[in-house]
Amino acid sequence: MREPSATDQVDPFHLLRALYPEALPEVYGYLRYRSGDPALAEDLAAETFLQAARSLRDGTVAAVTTPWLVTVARNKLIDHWRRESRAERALSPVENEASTDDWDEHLDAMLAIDTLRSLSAHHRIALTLRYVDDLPVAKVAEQLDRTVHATEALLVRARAAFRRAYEKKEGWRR
Amino acid sequence: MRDPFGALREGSSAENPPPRFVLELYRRLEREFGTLTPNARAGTQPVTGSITRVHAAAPCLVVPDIAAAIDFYETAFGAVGVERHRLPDGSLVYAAFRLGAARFGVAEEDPPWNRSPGSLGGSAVPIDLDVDDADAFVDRAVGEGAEILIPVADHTYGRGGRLADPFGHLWIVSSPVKKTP
Repeated sequence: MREPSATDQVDPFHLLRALYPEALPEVYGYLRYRSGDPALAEDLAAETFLQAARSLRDGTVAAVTTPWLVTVARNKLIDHWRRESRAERALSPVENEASTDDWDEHLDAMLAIDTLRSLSAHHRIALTLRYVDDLPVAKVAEQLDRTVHATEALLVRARAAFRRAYEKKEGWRR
Repeated sequence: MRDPFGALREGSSAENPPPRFVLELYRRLEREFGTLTPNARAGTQPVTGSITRVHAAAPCLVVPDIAAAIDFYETAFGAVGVERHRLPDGSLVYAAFRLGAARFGVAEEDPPWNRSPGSLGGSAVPIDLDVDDADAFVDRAVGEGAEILIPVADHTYGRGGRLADPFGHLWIVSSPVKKTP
């Protein structure tokens, strides 16, 4: 009779399978809420899990967790938006600087996320990382491969663009 | 001062994707990567809401002589009969047993649907039995006609051996390692 060796490991892909029921709604919900696009959320969620399985197979990671999968999903969403951003850049208009320092309005959550989804991709990326994902500015800068200073400046412009768009939407609704 | 942008976090939460997508992706992962892990099959249920929960799995053992099999499993293994099915002519075709926490069935050979190990040339499915005392269990089974394929001995996972019952079904009998006095 063949005996299992005492050092047998639990198969890592088994852990991904066990994680699937709990992790998929987290990953899908993350992507769906930020993009507002169920089809894109499905595509990127599928890519996220396939990448996890490949990483486990190739041994580049030893195990995966739900937060790890959400981080992969975030990178995929940001990459997707960056491609969109490159296409937009050629025709982006010069924006008026408008401060949000004195903006004390209590935002309607549904209208706010709708507004965010409607912004140009580079503003959407910055605000999503900073406010929806709640990353500190230094982390946002790291993710965008920019300096902290440049990131702060981008956030100022993005907040101003957000405010203009939000107030416009709100005006329509009233 | 209140930060108005905090409102952007409010609606972010887990969300169930459409069940169709849950299954498609699960199958794709299984197809592309599942073959790497043949041992992990028994692990988990895919997802609540898309596949119903499984309550039990039990083998049905096909035998050439069901009356002899009922007698053997009751006497040699201590199985408790819980169900018997008969044809209108009174002949017995199926019996269900409890064996500890497990359940198994025995069915009379009925080609082409049910074939016994004897007519197939052997069994492809050994069944694990965890018992208190592998030595005593095997001794008793041998006394009732079972054949020892591998004698009971100590292994890393416990003490155990392998039997073929009189109908050709294979049993791996294991118990915890005995403490040496």
